[in-house]
Amino acid sequence: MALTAARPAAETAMAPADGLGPAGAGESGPLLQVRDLVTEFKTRDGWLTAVNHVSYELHRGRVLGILGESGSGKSAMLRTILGLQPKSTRISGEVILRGRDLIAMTPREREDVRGSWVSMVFQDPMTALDPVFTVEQQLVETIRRHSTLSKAAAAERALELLEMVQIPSPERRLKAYPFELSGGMRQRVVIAMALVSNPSLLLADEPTTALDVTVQARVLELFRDLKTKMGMGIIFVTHDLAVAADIADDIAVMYAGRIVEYGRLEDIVRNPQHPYTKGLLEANIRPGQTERPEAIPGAPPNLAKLPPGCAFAPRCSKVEATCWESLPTLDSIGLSHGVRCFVATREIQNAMPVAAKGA
Amino acid sequence: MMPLVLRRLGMALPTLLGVTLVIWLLLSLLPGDPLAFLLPADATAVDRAKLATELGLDRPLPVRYVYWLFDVIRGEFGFSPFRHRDISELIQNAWKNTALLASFSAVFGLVTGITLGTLAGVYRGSAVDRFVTGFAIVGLSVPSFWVAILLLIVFSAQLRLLPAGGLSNWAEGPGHFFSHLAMPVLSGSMVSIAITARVTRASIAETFRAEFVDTLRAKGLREYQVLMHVAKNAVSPVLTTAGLQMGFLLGGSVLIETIFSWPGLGQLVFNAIAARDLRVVQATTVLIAVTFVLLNLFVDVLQMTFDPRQKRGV
Repeated sequence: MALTAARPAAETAMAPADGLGPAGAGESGPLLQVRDLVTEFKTRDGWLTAVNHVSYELHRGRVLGILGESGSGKSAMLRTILGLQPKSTRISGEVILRGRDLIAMTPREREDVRGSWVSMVFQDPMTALDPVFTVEQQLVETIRRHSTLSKAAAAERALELLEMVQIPSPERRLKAYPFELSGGMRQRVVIAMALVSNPSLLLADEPTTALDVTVQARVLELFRDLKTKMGMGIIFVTHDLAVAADIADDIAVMYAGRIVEYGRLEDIVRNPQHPYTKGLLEANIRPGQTERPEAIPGAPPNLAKLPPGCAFAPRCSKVEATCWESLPTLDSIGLSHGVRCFVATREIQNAMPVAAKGA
Repeated sequence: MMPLVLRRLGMALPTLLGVTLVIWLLLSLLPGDPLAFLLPADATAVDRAKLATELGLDRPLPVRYVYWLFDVIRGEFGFSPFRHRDISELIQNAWKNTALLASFSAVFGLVTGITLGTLAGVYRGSAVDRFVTGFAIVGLSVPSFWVAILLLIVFSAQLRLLPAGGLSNWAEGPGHFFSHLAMPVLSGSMVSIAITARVTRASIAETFRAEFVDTLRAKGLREYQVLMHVAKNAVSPVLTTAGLQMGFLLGGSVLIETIFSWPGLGQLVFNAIAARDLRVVQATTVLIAVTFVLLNLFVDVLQMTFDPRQKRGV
């Protein structure tokens, strides 16, 4: 209950300091719309396409799990939304949050948005906190950056936040330096820092990967709690299907910077269509399984030299001649289910009655 | 934190003792007869033995060291037969002059070096960075005496703007005072500027690559706030080199003081070596060594205030 009680006070205090004005129109629609987002990094081999024409929507109170191997563009996409990409980066497309296009904003406006409308939790809590400042100093500066609270009021709010993320004896932890806390505790501090101004959107970049399994479960529980109690939208990036299944409502599978399959959690887990998604599922160990999990052969492609056709073709067991020549589109194959694969789309259309074929 | 400072102080004492022992041994065991110079040419063996007893030279080495050490602690370094002065008086005057030059050089050198290094570290890869890095290499490679002579040629001989040497005191007016300081400070702090700029740049640039910087930006902090965090994390190597620089400067630069006829420790040592006035060399060396040890102690304590791990005694 402390969650909801703290909310209005912080929001009214927040408005003047940020100078963002009221959130624009579109408050009733989706919380976040990503449209045709492209992120390219400059490298020695030329431009590397880390995020390749990605589009999706996220609604309030839902968790979108982004699934993929390392180097599939998951983290690059989160960083683009946050505006933390390196200077020599080319970005096109739209990221519309609360009715405003973040990509079109000035750098100063983006600084205002970061930590207030959208926050991020990083992968490794051991390195995510400044080692020479106390937990309290790091929380208070964040609170004061996005509000007009006095130091004393901000310190009170910091304590409240630590209670919210269920840190035991929070008064003592406030005065602690990061090195005096365990990994799970530090990740809770990082999460508390992300919650400072009740962001509408929370980005989580593999926030449980660096933690012990038992701690992992409790941190995931905390995320579920935040979603239901605070109603924020969460994008949860992970390479671990079990983690995604534990937290996500919807799943987008990324490969070589593109979304290759999306759908509700059940669609993806029960009825995967893309050969890559199937491979990911088979590479996972299920309870009671005795045989070796099947690994996907080969490695992800070089993002600076993408082939003209399907990027997964070299590793695909169902590859056909067309796969090498042209890029499949992301076709809708159900109410909320889509796949980017010539073979899968054809098989589904063949299995469907005539009415669906015309669509 | 206090017990840690005391512990660090306890560690400095053996270092100091070791330093005095080495200096004393080196000069006591040097070949040559310390009495030969003091005795008249027609002295007998009895005169010789008498003088040796008077000076305590007939006692065993360890005893002589302890006596000497207590004299040093009391600030009694003996008499310089060459300068006809008490050595402590000579050193006191020289040290005052060197300290004046050193503090101006240190402040100028460290402030300039840290400013340049920070600019280069923040704008990595920019024209500013290339300029500072290039300047640092030049500053380290060009000998300070060459810079000193160049300055003398330009500002004293050609333009006749600045005095060629000597020191002035504050009573003669600030213009007079600073005009005497300008060239020694400028040429003497070149190396400090270069080293400090390099270390600061490297430390700032490396800290900017740390992952917590992403967290700071993700919180929406303004760039200057991010820089404050980076600076506090980057301060340690800068402090260490600053301490060393200060030590070198306080030891007096033989070359700079000689060129600008600045009557400091460097010049004192230079003249003492030339005249084989070993007790002056010994006393000055002890003083310089003690300065180094104390400065390092001070820097270590300062480090503790910046690093919470040390503060909590981890």
